[in-house]
Amino acid sequence: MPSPEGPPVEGTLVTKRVDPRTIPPVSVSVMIGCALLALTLPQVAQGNPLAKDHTGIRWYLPFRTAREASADQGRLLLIKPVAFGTTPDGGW
Amino acid sequence: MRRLVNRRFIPFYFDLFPGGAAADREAREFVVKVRPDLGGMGVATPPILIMSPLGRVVAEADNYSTEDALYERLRETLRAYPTWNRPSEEEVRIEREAEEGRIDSLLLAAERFLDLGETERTRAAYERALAKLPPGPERDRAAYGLGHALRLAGDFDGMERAFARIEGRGPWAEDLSIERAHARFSRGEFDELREALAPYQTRPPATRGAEALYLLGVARFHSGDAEGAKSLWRRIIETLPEDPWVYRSDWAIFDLEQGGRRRLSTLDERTPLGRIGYMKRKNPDLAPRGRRSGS
Repeated sequence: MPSPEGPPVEGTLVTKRVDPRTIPPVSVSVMIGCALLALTLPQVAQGNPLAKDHTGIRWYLPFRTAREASADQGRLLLIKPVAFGTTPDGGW
Repeated sequence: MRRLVNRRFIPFYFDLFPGGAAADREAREFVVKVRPDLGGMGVATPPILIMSPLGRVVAEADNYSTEDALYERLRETLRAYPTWNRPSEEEVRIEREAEEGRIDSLLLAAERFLDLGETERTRAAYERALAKLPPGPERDRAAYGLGHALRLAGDFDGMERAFARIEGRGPWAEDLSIERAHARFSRGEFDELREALAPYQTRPPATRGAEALYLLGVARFHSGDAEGAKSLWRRIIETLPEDPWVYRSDWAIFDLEQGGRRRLSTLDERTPLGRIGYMKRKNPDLAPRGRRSGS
């Protein structure tokens, strides 16, 4: 039978966090170029990629956070690799 | 399923393409180490990987499974690896309080048993709660929960007996209608399903509107009205774009319009949701099915 869906569970979706140490140095011209590109991106690119996720699944991002939680909580990782690309904001 | 995922797993996703917006170098290394085939460019749709934090692949699930099939795969994995299936401290407390007969804990325990696929324990917890609760909204909620659990287990007669115990039917009318629609679908009663859901075409239920319209579309399809079905599924995608039922609707439309395609390409026509296809998998709701009697 089709998959059942009930009311969303309580819980807060984990938002993506960027470690500033992972951001490489860039030139001013590249930064200006990126800023211009950002202005041309669709609206969806401006928000949290998980904000539209109504599945109620509490994603753990980034991977380091997920792996630590897996070890700490004694839970298996459920990993979904995306092979056909993610949207500019990191959703799929 | 999401409750089981949140209770027992640490869900994570990432883009395999190193330059992708959701790329994660550590995740890629972790996965490619055990699945080198996923490290190349242009890989086929990868499976969902169930892994230990030390990098062992415990199980895999087809990325295009139905939700029911994925749910069962997750439960199988937990049964096979009880080390990873230990209840949390909160669950232990709830179970203890449920044993003591505390009603709210009985209801929470029933939900947990339902998530883990333990139908008999689900039934027992709801029955104990029903025996203790006085007439009123909470008791009706427990009766509905019991009926819902029995419907998922395929016990439609039991479902009806549980729903008959709901005294204040008004607030539950739409839910009961949709639960019964699923039962009719499972029995192959498409004419009855179409008639029962027809009123929702003009006024979909407030909270389960996409689900009702999807099922109505399925009923129409099986009654020979494929165009009417597609129209309903498109309406879901256009008017309820953030409802989980849009994916199944998209899949159904793809099957009807492009299901005969032998190869998939990024140059092909996209589905209404902009996907390139469903990897030759057929939406199981469209498979021929005959009327079945009983539960």
